Amino acid sequence: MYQYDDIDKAIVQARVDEFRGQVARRLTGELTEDQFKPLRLQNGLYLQLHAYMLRVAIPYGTLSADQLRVLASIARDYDKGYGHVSTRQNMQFNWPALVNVPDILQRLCDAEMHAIQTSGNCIRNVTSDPFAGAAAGEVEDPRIWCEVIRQWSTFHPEFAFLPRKFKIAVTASDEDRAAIQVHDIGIQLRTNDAGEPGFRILVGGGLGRTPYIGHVVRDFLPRDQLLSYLEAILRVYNVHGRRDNLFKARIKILVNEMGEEAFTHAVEQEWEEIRKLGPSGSVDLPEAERARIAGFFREPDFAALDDTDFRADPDDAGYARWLSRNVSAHKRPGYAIVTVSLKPEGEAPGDITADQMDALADLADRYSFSDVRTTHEQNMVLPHVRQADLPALYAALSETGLGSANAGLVSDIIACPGLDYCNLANTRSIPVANRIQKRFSDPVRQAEVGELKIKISGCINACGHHHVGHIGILGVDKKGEEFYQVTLGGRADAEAAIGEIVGRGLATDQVVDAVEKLVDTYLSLRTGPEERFIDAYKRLGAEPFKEALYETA
Amino acid sequence: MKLLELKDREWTLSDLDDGPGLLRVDNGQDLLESPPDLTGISVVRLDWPQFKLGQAFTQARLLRQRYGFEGQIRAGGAIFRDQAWHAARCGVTAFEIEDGAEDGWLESLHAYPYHYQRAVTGEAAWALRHGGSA
Ligand code: SF4
Repeated sequence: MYQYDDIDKAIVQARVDEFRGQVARRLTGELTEDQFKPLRLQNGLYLQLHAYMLRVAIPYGTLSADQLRVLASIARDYDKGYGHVSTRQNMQFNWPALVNVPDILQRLCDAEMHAIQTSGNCIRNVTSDPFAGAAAGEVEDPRIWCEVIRQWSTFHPEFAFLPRKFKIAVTASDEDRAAIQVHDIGIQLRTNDAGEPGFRILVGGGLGRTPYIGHVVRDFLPRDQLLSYLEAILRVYNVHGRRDNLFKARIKILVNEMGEEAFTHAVEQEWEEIRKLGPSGSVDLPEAERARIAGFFREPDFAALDDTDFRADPDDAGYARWLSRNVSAHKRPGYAIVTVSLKPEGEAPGDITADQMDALADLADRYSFSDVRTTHEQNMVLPHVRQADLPALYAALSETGLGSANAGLVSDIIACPGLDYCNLANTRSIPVANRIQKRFSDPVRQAEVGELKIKISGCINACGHHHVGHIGILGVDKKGEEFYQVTLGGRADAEAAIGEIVGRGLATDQVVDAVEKLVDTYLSLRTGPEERFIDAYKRLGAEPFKEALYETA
Repeated sequence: MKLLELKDREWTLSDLDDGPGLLRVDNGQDLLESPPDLTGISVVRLDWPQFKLGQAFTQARLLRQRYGFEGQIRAGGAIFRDQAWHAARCGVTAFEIEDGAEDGWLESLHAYPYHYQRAVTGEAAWALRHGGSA
């Protein structure tokens, strides 16, 4: 993974020192809360319902085992003993005291981490495929370009005060595990007909109040021109993006108000202008720097192994389920990718305790080249595990409560913090997730239902990505009463789609029954176990599901 | 109000005066579309009606890099000291500040020793890493 040099260290240290000064100005009253707010927001510090929340950046979801131990120490020393993996692959701490935040940032800085640009109207932490460098079919490791973008976007002087937050995701294969079509900018590494590497660039996707799938503004951009092209997009947005209405300020609205063609034209024109600055004024990264950064993402020292028949005859039913749900194919023979579920029944989705972090860090050291990932689905990943080590790894994970065999199943729910933490929430999210988990508690039944992605947001801001849930659940407030709106058929993979609203909102006590009805309808109509919920929905449309939901409701 | 101004690479404090040759550019003015008329202009004043209206960062950069303006670019309005280094990197060379606030502004202007990207001023980290030759 990337390692800081003296320049990186000095920049992150400067941010810690600056923020220490800003906190001191706040505590002495030199700064009012209003003046302090934009400063703390540039450092990932939110004021929530009960306390401050600190969002630590995990750039493109990649952590070393030692960094995970540092996060564990922060959870232990400054929080209530746990952290929370967010849908942007970051880690949130819900209970830090303001006076301690500079010390937390210092501890992060010493481990080459930070909380820079995890909030505010700036370019946020760039996200990527949690299987990067491990899955087959990649043009190259997408994290090379994530790191390039991390550096370029960090304290970008022109784009630190955009109309609204700005999210970029990068993937390097046709199988999209980074949801690039629902990002402000989605970047897919690909090769052109001549076999040269470059990028497909999508702009204007996003969830929230008005969900959109991104438009392709460039089908192929040569690899060495990425940053100038990104500057052109950001500049057009900074100049033309709306600032009069918070809800119309994202770039997706600009793209749709200008029209895809006019927007693309404006970007291309601006890009030509930027290119006129010539090599001496170019913002693009020189090849030597690309090569330096790429050097940090070389493959680990894989052993020459043969694939084993590891899925055959596992002696334990729980282990068998875990193998079928949480273990994915690796590009190297003899290795596997392991998804570590942070969705045990009854816990807040994405929560992980300090002890679990330490245990997972040890397992990463022992079994996965000290490499750990966070995922936008609020789980974690050990990307490079020998197939022969799977039984021992499963046993160790189970011992520490991380052995849930439910990746991608009905209980692997994405849920935003909702009314338990968030001051914008209409409804609770976590308890709804827990009640659904409880209803589908039987692992055999879950396995029978198969892949089903349920995503829950406590308000229209859609932090729980409900628009792209196979079943999406959105909390709405009607005259002071909590209601839940159900959407169906959303997905964030290569066939990204926004879910359809199926009918009137449901009362809190109807939600779990509704999910069960949808599942039963699917089970009765599917052509067989190989037809997943989302495939059946695609074939059948919303009608049979609507009928099931509302006929007796 | 005072003016904190970059003169011979040093930030120096002087009295604020709106002499002739000053052009006020509105925060919403689209400089991508067309440049302002800069004939006879020695100072362009950019405005931050609210700190978060960040179009002026782009305006400064366009004035310097696209329209070749070499006079003073002055920042005024609700811009605060913690934003000043961004503005300076985009080409701003003078700030309208409250009386007595200069120490804080100077501290903020000098808070960061390095920068990742190429802008108007301040060498990019990648250029330093590879011997200054890009
Ligand atoms: S979706 Fe709404 S309730 Fe949930 S975290 Fe986001 S803002 Fe808060």
